[in-house]
Amino acid sequence: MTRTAVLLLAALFSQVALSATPTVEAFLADPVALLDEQGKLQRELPLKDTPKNPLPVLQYNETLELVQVELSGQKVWLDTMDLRLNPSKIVKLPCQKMPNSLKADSQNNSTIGFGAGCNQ
Amino acid sequence: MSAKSPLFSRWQYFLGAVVLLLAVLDPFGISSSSNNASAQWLNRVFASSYQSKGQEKIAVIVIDDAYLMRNNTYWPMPYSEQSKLFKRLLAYKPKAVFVDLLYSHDHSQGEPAQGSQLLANVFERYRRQGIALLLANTGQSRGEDGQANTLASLAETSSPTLVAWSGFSDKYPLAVETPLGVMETPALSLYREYCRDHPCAELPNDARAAMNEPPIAIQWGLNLAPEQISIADIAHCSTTNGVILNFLKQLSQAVFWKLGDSVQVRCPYSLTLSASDLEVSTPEDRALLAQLLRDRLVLVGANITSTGDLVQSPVHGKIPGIYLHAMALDNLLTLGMQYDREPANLLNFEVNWLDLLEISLLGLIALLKAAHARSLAAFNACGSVLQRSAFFKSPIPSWLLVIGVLIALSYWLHAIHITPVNVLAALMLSLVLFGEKLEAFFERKN
Repeated sequence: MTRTAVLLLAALFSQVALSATPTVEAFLADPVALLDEQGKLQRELPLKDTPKNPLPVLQYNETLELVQVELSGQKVWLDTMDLRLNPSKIVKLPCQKMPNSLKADSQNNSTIGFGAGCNQ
Repeated sequence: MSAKSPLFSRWQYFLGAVVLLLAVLDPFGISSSSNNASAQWLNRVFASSYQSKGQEKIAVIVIDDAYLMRNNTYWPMPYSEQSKLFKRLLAYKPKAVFVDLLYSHDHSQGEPAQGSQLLANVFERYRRQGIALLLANTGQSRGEDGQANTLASLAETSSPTLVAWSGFSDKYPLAVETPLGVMETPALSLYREYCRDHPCAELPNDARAAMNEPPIAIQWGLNLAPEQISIADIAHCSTTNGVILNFLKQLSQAVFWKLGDSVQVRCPYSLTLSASDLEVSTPEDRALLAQLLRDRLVLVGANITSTGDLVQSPVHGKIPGIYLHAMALDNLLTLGMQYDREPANLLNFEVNWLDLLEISLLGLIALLKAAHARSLAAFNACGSVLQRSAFFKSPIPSWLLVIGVLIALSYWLHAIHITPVNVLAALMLSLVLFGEKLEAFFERKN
């Protein structure tokens, strides 16, 4: 019973995972920058030479917001700002409150300490 | 005092010489403080009529605490976070970007996946596309005598602009001599980028020529950019009601500052976007950002609690330092090289011809006061036999003459872009002309 349930669940989630595989739907920049995994420019590709069909995304580097795709048999990294992805994360304008100035006599007699990311 | 006697006694001449000496030497900085108070008040009065020509070409991106919390990150931000932020900004193709962050220490050494090279890669990529990238620089030799300055990897992919200087009081220099050579400040560097596509008269040929130009006496604007409402909630930002009402408001605040809340807080003048705004992904929002940022001169700075980069604006109070550079640039875009400045000092002393003009105004008030005293003395001596000149019958014509001279002088100085005379001091001192009238009034009462 348990094994059947596990198999069923696995089959279900693999379908979801497959359908959620992101694709590059369109290129928005001209030229499109082809990068390495650190975001360093390798070469540029004119928009007219980019593939017209959706491209499957092979890897997604969330830290640098880069995606890896295969272009003409070569694996390259692209900047997500240059692309329209499907599916893509929807982030709307936060419409933050415009910051006010501080009073001319306001004081803050402290200095910021080490952030959470420093190992010192 | 008779009609034939000299206007001033020896004692009065001596007193005048002492006043002159006090004005020139400025002991305890009282005269300078009064001059600053007058200039700042005038800036507040006329801030609402400051032209928006420069405002249309500038955008400020502020990295704030809200952005750090939203992205669960920290300050100083890791290079990976910064590379994301800058590539989001640069993708909108601004004309030039000045980054008011000093990259003096690589806080991710030994970790290439987190190092400064990530940011250098982004800078390099967009610099190749023709976007000018200007990075804050202290003008000091990095590592020498413990001096901090921009990391080499980032300096190679950007142009340095000087953000640290001294000896200019609250004025903004165009270029300064540093141990690394003459360096231009962000406002002039960005203005040069603007001038690549637009005609700009009298632009200094190079940094050395710019160093010989007087520093900017920054004039601050008040009205928010019309586009600001499309990107942020500005409901709490105070609005203006025209120059006359603003004048009356500023006058009452200046006179009765002890009786009420005199401290003003306002929203910054330059078009401001939060770093969080750059994260948008919907086509409509991205189109809006493209409209706001494309071909603009963009300045990126931080407003993080306890980081300390705050400057004093006469119009706003304390605001993040990035707005000082933005306002200096705005002055250059609006007025060109005819920006407001102080006259040059005379003979290497901290005295200029404007100081002499102020002393002359003081002399005029003293002269009129003495002439009034003599006229009254002559009238009293001869009784009603002598006909008093209409001009000296009342102090009002003399006072109006002083005010007229003051207005004409202020207008002329404004036309030639020289900082104004000490209007407040002149106004206060002109009231001595009413001294005898007031004395007579109180004597009648008694």
